[in-house]
Amino acid sequence: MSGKSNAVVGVVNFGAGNLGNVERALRRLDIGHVPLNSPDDMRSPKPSLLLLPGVGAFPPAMASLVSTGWMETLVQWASEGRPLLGICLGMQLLCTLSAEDGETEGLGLLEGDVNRLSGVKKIPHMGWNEAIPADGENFLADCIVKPGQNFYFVHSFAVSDSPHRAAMTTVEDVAFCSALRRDNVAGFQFHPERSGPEGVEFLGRAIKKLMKFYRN
Amino acid sequence: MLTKRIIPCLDVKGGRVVKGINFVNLRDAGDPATLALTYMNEGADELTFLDITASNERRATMLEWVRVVADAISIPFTVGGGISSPGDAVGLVALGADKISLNTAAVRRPELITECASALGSQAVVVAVDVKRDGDRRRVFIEGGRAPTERDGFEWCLEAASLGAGELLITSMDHDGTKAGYDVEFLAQVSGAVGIPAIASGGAGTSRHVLEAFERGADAALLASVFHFGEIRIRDMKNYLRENGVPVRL
Repeated sequence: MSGKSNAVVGVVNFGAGNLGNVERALRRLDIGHVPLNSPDDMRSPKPSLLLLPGVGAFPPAMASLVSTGWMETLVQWASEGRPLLGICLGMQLLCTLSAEDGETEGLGLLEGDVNRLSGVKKIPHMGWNEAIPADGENFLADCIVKPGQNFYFVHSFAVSDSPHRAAMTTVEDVAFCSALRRDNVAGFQFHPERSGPEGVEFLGRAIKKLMKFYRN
Repeated sequence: MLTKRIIPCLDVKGGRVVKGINFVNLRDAGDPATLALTYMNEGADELTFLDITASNERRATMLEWVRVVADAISIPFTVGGGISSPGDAVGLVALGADKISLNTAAVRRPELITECASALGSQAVVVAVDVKRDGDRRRVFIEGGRAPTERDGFEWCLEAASLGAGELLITSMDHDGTKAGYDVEFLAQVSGAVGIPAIASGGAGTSRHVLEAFERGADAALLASVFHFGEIRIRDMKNYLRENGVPVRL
């Protein structure tokens, strides 16, 4: 029924982001995956979990989600309680809204506003940093491969706080949500797929954990 | 806390790494993927590859080795060498490179920085600045350090940042190869003035030199020969840095 070996991760390709390195990580993990160039591609094989990657700016990415039909599909998918994971910009797109280049509404699946990292001298926040599991949320703690594990970050915007925070990270005394989760919907601000072999293993554990929301 | 990054740099020519690693027994010390994997396992935070193949042959070999490196490692890597259009840059990122590094072409046509940043996001655009001391100032050199320009190093760093660079790779040609330490004066000046990360390059011979660069504001340190020849191991350098109060990933 569930479990890593049965997972087919649908990697959402909506024209904003580089799928290659996410797919490479899934290949290393021996997790079945299929690139989804449009919602129609979900008919066969039917994915068990959707992964939303993304790099670049929020507004054109959101516009692309709308025009390709992915917005409706993702909202429907999540509302059915199915597992959905966003990475970097993909996580931000799951949130309420973003202030990048004006104000743009997101998918609204996770509560939180995306704002420019203010008070940080050097932007982008680029490099390896720790993700500290938030109180009362086991998701991160359960997936972390070793204590003090660092992850690779590269972003200029972030969610400063959210009721769905799963982990917090600090840069120059500025704290932001580095992971969010609301039941079947989760997101990472960092790139587990670029965070070395331990990051890749972390991604595998996160997928496995989210797969408990899998349904036919 | 954001850690300081240690970045080994590898030169590639005709799809082969020149001056390959020789501190471990490798079956093929010139294979980019093997060396990339070795450095990832040694604790490198990122890797930088500079393709120094003659321009007429570069494109074909570059497309091949970049993909193979991407298949081999799961840490970020930057590719530089002869990138002169946003199309080149997008092509390399599509193959799996995380960032591209611009140098000569950006000095000749600074809008290239903006074009690459629009296509890929600033985070993927490194501008490499080669400088040589000229009195109190630094002069920008291009074409692998062979050709002087009229540009002032400090001004060019500020301009590159304002045009959309996500990071600066600052190489002191006076210090490069000397193993006498980085040009920390210039690093401090740039690092204090630009709002983007700065990578120190050229001159490191000891872990202490790297510590000095970080204390003066560098966000990352690029090293080549001291790593390739096994004079310093990455893990030992990071332990030294941590003992001296620098946050590093271990």
